[in-house]
Amino acid sequence: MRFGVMLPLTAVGAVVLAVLAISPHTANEKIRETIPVQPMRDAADGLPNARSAAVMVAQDPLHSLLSEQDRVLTERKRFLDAMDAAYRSEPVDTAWSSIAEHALVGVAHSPALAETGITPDAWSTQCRSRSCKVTAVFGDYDDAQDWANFFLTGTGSTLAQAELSIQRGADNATHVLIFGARR
Amino acid sequence: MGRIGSLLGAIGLTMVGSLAIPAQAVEIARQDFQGAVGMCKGATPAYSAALRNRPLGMANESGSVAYVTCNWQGDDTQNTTRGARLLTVVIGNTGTSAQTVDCTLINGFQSGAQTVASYTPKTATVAAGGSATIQWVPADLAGAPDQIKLPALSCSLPAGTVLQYTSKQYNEDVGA
Repeated sequence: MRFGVMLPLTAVGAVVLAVLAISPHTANEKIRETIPVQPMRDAADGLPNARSAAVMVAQDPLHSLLSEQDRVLTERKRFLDAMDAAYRSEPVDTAWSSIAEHALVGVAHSPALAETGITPDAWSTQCRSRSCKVTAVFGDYDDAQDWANFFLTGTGSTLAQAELSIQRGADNATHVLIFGARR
Repeated sequence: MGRIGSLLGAIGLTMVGSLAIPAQAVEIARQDFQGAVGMCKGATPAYSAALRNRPLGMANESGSVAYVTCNWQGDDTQNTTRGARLLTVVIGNTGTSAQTVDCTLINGFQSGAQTVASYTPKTATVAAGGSATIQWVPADLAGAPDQIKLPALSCSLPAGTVLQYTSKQYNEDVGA
C-alpha cells in the first residue's frame, strides 16, 4: 500500500477513534434529556442553599407539561367538534337508533347505576345510523365522572367505542358529552 | 508505521461503516401477569366494602353489582414500544347462575377538570362455576393506535363474580 493512500486512512481512523473517545454513545444509545439545573439561590435572604418560590417555579417542569397538555386539549376540542359535525350529518337509521337509544336508557336506569345514587340533573341520548350522542349535566364534578364511567362500563352491547368529555361550564355545572360508535 | 496506519485505517473504516448504518433495534415480546387485587379497587368506599380481596381474586360477595376500577402501568413517551399490544382480564363466577360482566377499557388522562379519554366497552357472559376472558387490542380502540399507552379499566361485577387477574402484552426494546 502506498504511503499516499495510507495517510488518509490513518487520519480517518484516528479521527473516528478520537470522536468515540470523546463521545462514547453508540448509535442506538438514547441520550437522556436533562432539565437544566439553576443554582438554588434566594436573592431575598442571600442564603446560598435556600429555595425561593421564584426559583422553584422557574425550574418546575410541570409548566412545559401543561403547555403540552394545553395543545392536547385544543386538539381534543377540535376532534370533538369534528365528531359532533360528523354525528349531525349522519342519516337516521330508525330501526337501529330506536333500539340503541332504548338500550342506553336501560343502562342509565339499570339497578346497578340506580344504586349509586348519582342522578344527572338532565340528560339525553340520541342515536342516528352509526353513532350516538349522550349529554348529561351534573351539579357535582365528581358525580359526573363516576356516572360517566359507570354508564359507559355498561354500554358494551350497544357501543364499540366511545369518546368522553367532561367539562365544567361557566354556569358551574359539569357537562358530560359522549360520542359512541355503533357496535 | 505501515502496519499501524493500515490497522487504524481499517478500524476507522469499520467504525465509519457501523456509524453510517445504525443497528436495528430489537424488540422482545413481554407479558406481565397481575392479580386483580394488585391493581384494582372498589370504585367508591361503598363498593370496597362489598369486595373481598384474596390472593387469587377480588370477589364481590355482596348481593348487588359492585364497580371496580383498575390501572395498568402505561408508557406515553413518543417512541415507546412498551404500550400494550394485548390487554386481558379474567372474571370468574362462583355463583349458581350465569352472570353478565361489563368492562370498559379507558385510554387517556385527566388534566385538572378536563377528561381526555377514549372508552372501549365490552361485555362477557360468565357461566356458573366458570370464567370468562375479555381482551382488548389496539385495533379495538377509536383511531386504532399501534399501542394502548395509558390503559385503565372499569368493570361492574355482579354478585358472586370474581375479578381474578389481568395481563398486559407489550414489546420491550432491548437494543441491537
